[in-house]
Amino acid sequence: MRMAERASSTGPKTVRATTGREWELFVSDDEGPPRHAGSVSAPTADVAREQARNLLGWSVDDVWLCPADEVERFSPSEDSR
Amino acid sequence: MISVSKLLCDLDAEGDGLRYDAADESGKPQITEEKQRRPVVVWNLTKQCNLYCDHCYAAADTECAPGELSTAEGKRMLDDLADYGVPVVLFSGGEPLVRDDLTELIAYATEQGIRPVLSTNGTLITEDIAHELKEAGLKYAGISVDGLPEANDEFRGQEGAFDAALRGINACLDAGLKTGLRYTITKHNADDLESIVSMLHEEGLDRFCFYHLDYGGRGNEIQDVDLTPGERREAIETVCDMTREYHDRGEEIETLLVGNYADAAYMVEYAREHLGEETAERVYRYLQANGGDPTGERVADVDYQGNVHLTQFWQGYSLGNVRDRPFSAMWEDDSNPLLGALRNREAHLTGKCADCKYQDICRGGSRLRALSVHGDPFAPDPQCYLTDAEVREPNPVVDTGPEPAD
Ligand code: SF4
Repeated sequence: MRMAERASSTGPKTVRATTGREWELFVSDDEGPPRHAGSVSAPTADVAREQARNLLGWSVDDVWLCPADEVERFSPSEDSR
Repeated sequence: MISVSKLLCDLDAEGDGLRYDAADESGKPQITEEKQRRPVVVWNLTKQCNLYCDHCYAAADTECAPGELSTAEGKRMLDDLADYGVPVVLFSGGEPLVRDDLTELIAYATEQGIRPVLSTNGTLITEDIAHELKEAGLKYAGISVDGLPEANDEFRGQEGAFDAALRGINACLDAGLKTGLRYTITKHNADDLESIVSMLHEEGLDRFCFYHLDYGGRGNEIQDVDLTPGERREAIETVCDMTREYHDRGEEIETLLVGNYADAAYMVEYAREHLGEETAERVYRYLQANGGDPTGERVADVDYQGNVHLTQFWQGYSLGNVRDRPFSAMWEDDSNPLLGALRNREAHLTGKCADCKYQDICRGGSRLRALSVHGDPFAPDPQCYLTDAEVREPNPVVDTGPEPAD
């Protein structure tokens, strides 16, 4: 499925969370480069960080948290700009 | 989901001849088959609801939230779920009936070979709507009522909600739709349990699902009205006693427990005490095939915006969004550390759950409640109401060898 489908969705990308802001999670362990590992809903970066630590801290070395509404998603082949 | 009526009435009646490993002969699912089963998918079609319930896990609102999957996106997702072999989609919300394409989506699921079922507060179901739902192929309507009229209306934030739900229940029954009650047990309504069953049974209802409070959405904010372990045990004992009383009177009701697999352990204890060792063993074997808490395995959730969750209650964490990646691909991707660990949770459980003798029929209960209360998805379920002695004694059914020396 192409990411561009999100652009044709009915809603603004700024609202994804059920409660609070949505934070994309990227993790890395000794197996290689960071990879996407889902997202958490949290009002602030600190809370998101605590949740990420609780959920995944036991299994990974590093975590990147990124506000979902700051992520640009597009499929280059379908990008008209 | 644990069927009390099945375990305590049917299994008790089945006699000694049943062979649990002979699925072909007994008609019972084999464990391996059960484990490979695709998840039941709960789809929260909308965050909008006409009521505002205290315990809503979806934290639903009376206003429409932006970003709902469109009809076309919903159908695309149903295509993927059908290809993947998902057996059942539970259309839920918010209140799914506030979406005017609900019947269209149910009919589409039916066409794709998915069994569509509905979770609703029932208050918007008229006779016409019940017929439309039935015609669209709806197989079951679970209607939420959380106590006798007064308690229910207070909990659900609207006077008259009980009567409206009752009208909905009757409309469904009249349309020939299989219909059941959904009842979340809290301190407010635990005492009403028997009255509500008798009242609704008189209306013609024969299926009653009792939910334990899970700590997601607004449910997390009302932990103070959750039952104590003692109260919980009493409530479940009431469900068991009541089911057997109806059965003994020749009035069959189906009673089910949802959301706390310590109930599985309790069912074995209850069966041993009231029905004898042999029935207890059958109950144990049956629950073993059932597979314990289904989080991240046999149940999944897609919220109104397409985010995929590990259960419908666990909205605070998402594996990804169906707008980015098909559900089937996310569900198959064990490289997600949390998903992988939940599927192998026996290796991660700690405390009371780590060496519980009922671990293989319970699997540690709710990992979400453990996370909400202890900040650790593998800590013990705070709602477990089995005593330490009960979970530590040698397994009553399976020989686990001699006790380790001190
Ligand atoms: S101790 Fe844990 S595994 Fe055992 S019954 Fe209680 S919740 Fe289930």
